Amino acid sequence: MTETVERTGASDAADGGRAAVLEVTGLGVDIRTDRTWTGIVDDVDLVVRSGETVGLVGESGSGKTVTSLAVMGLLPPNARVRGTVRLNGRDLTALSERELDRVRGVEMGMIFQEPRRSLNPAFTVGDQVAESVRRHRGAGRREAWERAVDLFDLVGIPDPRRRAGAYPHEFSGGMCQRVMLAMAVACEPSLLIADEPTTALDVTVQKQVLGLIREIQQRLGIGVLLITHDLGVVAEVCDRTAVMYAGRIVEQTEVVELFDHPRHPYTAGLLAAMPDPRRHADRLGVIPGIVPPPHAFPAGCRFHPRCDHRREPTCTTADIPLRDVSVGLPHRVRCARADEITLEDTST
Amino acid sequence: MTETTETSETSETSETAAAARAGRPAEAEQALTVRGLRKSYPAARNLLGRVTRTVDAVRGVDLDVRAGETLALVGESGAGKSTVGRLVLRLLEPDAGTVTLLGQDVTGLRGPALTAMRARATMIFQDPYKSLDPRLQIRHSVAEPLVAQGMRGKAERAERLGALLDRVGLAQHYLDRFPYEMSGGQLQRVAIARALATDPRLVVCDEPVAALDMSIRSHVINLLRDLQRERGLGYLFVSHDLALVRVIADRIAVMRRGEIVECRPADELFADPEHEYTRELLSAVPASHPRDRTFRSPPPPRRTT
Ligand SMILES: Nc1ncnc2c1ncn2[C@@H]1O[C@H](COP(=O)(O)OP(=O)(O)OP(=O)(O)O)[C@@H](O)[C@H]1O
Ligand SMILES: Nc1ncnc2c1ncn2[C@@H]1O[C@H](COP(=O)(O)OP(=O)(O)OP(=O)(O)O)[C@@H](O)[C@H]1O
Ligand code: SF4
Ligand SMILES: [Mg+2]
Ligand SMILES: [Mg+2]
Repeated sequence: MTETVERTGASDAADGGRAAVLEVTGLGVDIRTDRTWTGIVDDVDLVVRSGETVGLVGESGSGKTVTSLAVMGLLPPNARVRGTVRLNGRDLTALSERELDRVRGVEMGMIFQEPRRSLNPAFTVGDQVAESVRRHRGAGRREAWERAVDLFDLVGIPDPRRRAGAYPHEFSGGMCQRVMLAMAVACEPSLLIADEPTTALDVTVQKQVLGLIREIQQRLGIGVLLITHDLGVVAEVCDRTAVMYAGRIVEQTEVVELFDHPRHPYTAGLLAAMPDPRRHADRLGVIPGIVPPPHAFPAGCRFHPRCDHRREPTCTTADIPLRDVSVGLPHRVRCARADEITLEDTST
Repeated sequence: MTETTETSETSETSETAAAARAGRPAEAEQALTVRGLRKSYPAARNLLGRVTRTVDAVRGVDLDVRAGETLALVGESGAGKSTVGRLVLRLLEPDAGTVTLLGQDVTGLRGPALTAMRARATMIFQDPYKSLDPRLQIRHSVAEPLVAQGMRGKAERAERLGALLDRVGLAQHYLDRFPYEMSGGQLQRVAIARALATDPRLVVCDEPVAALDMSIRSHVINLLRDLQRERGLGYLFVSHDLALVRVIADRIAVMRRGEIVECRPADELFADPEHEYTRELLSAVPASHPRDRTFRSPPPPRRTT
């Protein structure tokens, strides 16, 4: 690889002594519908290092999936992309479809919300994983099958040799997600993108699958970008987290810092709305108003119509940049009044 | 629990709730009593349409919901929770067992008596886009149960509709809208207004906030809570979200494969689960803070700048 020279000087990249696997800089996505372009995602910077899990959390429609599709180069043809996406230093936005396809199979693994839909009902799960191994690694039939069985073992499928011969419909949702995970890590990718991997699963299975992702990530040293709408999932497995609102990252920091000292009123609102399973409560915290759709994103701070701390014109005219507000731990926030306002302390 | 009576404006209800949570028999009226409820579905048929295999979805369930109380029904997918909810409201016919609403056995009710019963026990579903007729203006969706109960006077209906919308926090102009013109959270308020139109005593809430966004969810939960206080509603609250159930339920019934395996006050159940399956469920509740996470690992890498 000769592209290392092209690495950005972003301070994030080389920190912590671990290599940045994924570096997204200034990512923007517009989508065209009925001849008009609508900005869906804007000014997204993200870094995922090897061995860490970065959460991308936000409500429905905030742009999480579009962001991940942009990273994977899987956006529909009516989308246009700005910014750069570097995987192990190489800019993916400059690659041909063919090269991208290779990168997706080998350097980058993916799992999605509905594992069953990603599997072909007509083939055994073992065949599907083996086929993926053959295609990306050029392994022989027998070798690929053995590898599939090993992978099933790795992802905790009991009796892997026998179960490899089963069809997807014979598997529960949780087992299907294990199969998808086996396929995603078959070539030992450096990055795993997981878009709501446990949302469709039963409660008891959710945590098992999260634990499994965590375990495999640590064992293989993979960087994980975990997309979720669930702060409980973030609390369980993420090292760092970016909070997305209306197509922009509004806050980004280490996970404990985020839960203890949120600096964005939206993050603080979400945390207050979270039921605390440790006690019976009379009321849950609320955020007034609703999430705006992309064609109606407000000017200035996109959260301003819902924010109790809003000031005109500070919050309502110019775009607000993501600013560094680190105190000890790295912490960035997109709020013009972050230094003036006091948010309720959510640490307990 | 440190409840000082004079500080809380709602001390009466919270006392009742506390009594219920502590498992004490409250004097409050019984909203719902279910005994020995059973239901199986046809799972396979032969060429002649005869049922060759059945699924026993509900296998002898007993439940009690007092007025003003929230009984949560939790358990894995397919446990039979929604089936219980539908049986209670006679949207499905049970194979066996009795359902008693406000002291009246409703199991065999027909015709006008069944209609009258449907005024006293109503339901809120998970997905309001599916539970409300997409072709009807909100006005007609909310008024439908009133019409079914025979409220003929237009002026009276209009007044009731206005008050209902007001109560669920929606402006009057939403009455003229269609479901597709509204957000999920707004529409769930409409569904609540509709469920409350006939002034019921029991509301079966089947995953009422599961489809809603995080910032919207708590509005709906708080609204349900306020309405319960005001009207002494009994809730049978079906949910898979244990963290939420912990916070809002007085008692929790844990269901597995068609049976209730444990039914106790929420505090007790969380503090000291008895059944193996309850323990399994509780261990699956996600942490509300990263310090309490299950999956410990080396500390995350930190930047030095
Ligand atoms: N192909 C498309 N054409 C038009 N609009 C789109 C397309 N894909 C996504 N959008 C819009 O982009 C916005 C962001 O969508 P995205 O799927 O990224 O949200 P999300 O954060 O993943 O939400 P969810 O939690 O519901 O999955 C939404 O308003 C969505 O309607
Ligand atoms: N109309 C039906 N016909 C046949 N089987 C059904 C029908 N409805 C439900 N079942 C079966 O009955 C069982 C109980 O289903 P039910 O919907 O009551 O479960 P649940 O606890 O509400 O699950 P979930 O959490 O997924 O909503 C399941 O095995 C289901 O497949
Ligand atoms: S910029 Fe203003 S409106 Fe936006 S979050 Fe900060 S205080 Fe609120
Ligand atoms: Mg998505
Ligand atoms: Mg159900």
